[in-house]
Amino acid sequence: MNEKITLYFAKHKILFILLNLTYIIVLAKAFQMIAYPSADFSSALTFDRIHFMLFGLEDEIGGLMLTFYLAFVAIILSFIGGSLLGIARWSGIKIISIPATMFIELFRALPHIMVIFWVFFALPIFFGVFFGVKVTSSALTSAIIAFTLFESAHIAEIVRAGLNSIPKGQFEAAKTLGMNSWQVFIHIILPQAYRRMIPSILSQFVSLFKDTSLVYVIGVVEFFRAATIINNRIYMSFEILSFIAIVYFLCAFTLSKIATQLEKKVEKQLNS
Amino acid sequence: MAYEFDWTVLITYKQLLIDGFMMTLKLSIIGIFFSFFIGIFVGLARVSNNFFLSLSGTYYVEFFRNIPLIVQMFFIYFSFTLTDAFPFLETFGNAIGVEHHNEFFSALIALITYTSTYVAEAIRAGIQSLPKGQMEAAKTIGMNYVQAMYHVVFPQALKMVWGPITSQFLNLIKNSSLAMTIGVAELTFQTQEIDSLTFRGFEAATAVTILYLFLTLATAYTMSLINRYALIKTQNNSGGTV
Repeated sequence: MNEKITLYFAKHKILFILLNLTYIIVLAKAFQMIAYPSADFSSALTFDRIHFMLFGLEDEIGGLMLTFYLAFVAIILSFIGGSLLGIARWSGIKIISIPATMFIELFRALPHIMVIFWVFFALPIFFGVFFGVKVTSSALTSAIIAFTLFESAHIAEIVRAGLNSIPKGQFEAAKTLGMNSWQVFIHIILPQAYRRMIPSILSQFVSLFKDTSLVYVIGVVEFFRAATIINNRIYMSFEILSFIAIVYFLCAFTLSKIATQLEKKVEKQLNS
Repeated sequence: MAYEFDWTVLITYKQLLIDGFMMTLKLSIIGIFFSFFIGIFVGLARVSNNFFLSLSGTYYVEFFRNIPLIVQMFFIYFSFTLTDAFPFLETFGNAIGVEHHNEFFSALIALITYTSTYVAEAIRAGIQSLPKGQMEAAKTIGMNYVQAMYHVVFPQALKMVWGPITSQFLNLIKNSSLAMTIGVAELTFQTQEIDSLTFRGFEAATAVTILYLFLTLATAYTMSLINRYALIKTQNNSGGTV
């Protein structure tokens, strides 16, 4: 019986998606009827409010767009920083590998919210005391710095694991061809390692996208902060918060589905 | 820009730090306990042969994993009054010495749902990575599905994914700091408290950072002890070569 159902839906994918959609809509509606019967979505979510939540105010970037912007910048910076740190830790040269290890372990042990607080509140004091420089940074800059520091530490571990997974024979084979260490690293090791890392790095980026909601605490008006601003004014929490939950879900779900597809592709390439 | 360090604030306000530490500890221990067991059940549901059971497991995982934790917390806290809907939470809260029940349990439930999805994914990956022969061999010697799962497949899978599960528990401890946004007085909240009382955020943040480091390292050590003394036995009993 079960195999029949599974086989049937494997053949008819559109039917499966439709079944899921109806199932989800029925579940959501039932949940709303039981938990919060007086919900009034049409008066809570007017066009202006949705526009504010998605795009922010007219003359500045905000809302969901700011979330994407923040995630995009942080992804690029933390990818570069994480690669450098991971290679430094993997290299085994003590002068660079010990500081890199300390950095990675410290930032992996700290809560994300503490890192954001450190960068926003404590870093200016730190620079003032030890270097005598007066540093002032906006909330957005602090958020980007905090994300870069935090995510680089996590990506560095992925990079190190990827580099460790390359068999030793690859080095030796490349050396016998007459390449020096640097050439071996650039042309042989790194491309293979990155191909293996793609799935884990992508899932780290999905979690970064979800974590952008944390900059709420230092007052960057991204999607979640924009929603709470509206919620504080009209106090229709159920409607507003379920709207942002659905939007976050759609974005993160799509991203993670893309990541899964890429993962399958990479596995196929590795196995062939 | 002269900044004089004054570490005596930590001694003056040590009660705040202790209270915060205890609150973080309560959130972490209860959260780890429940997310572990719910994670196991959802993970087993996902690998089961029943189509609708595994579909429900997938729904649970995808739904709670793709919504940020802070959104879940806010949703539960601002949309519902938990103690009105579930009066037993009040008794439970009094038993463990929590004053603000709504805040505490909203944060706790969000932490549990969020972390249990990751635990479930780890369990599923562990069970699926075992060779199919294990299940088939157990069935040939006369075990039914539940017995085979309980005695043969699950212990091996748990041992295999103990590392990822440990890191999810560490994530739960770190994520418990988000409870400050809805007003649970845990460690990070107390940092802000000391900062606003004395304007000594730097010292407070340093102390709290060290406390978090201590907490995560202690948890990682405990989990490795469990791995060494409790899980190795199951490996020998089942004769697996994991």
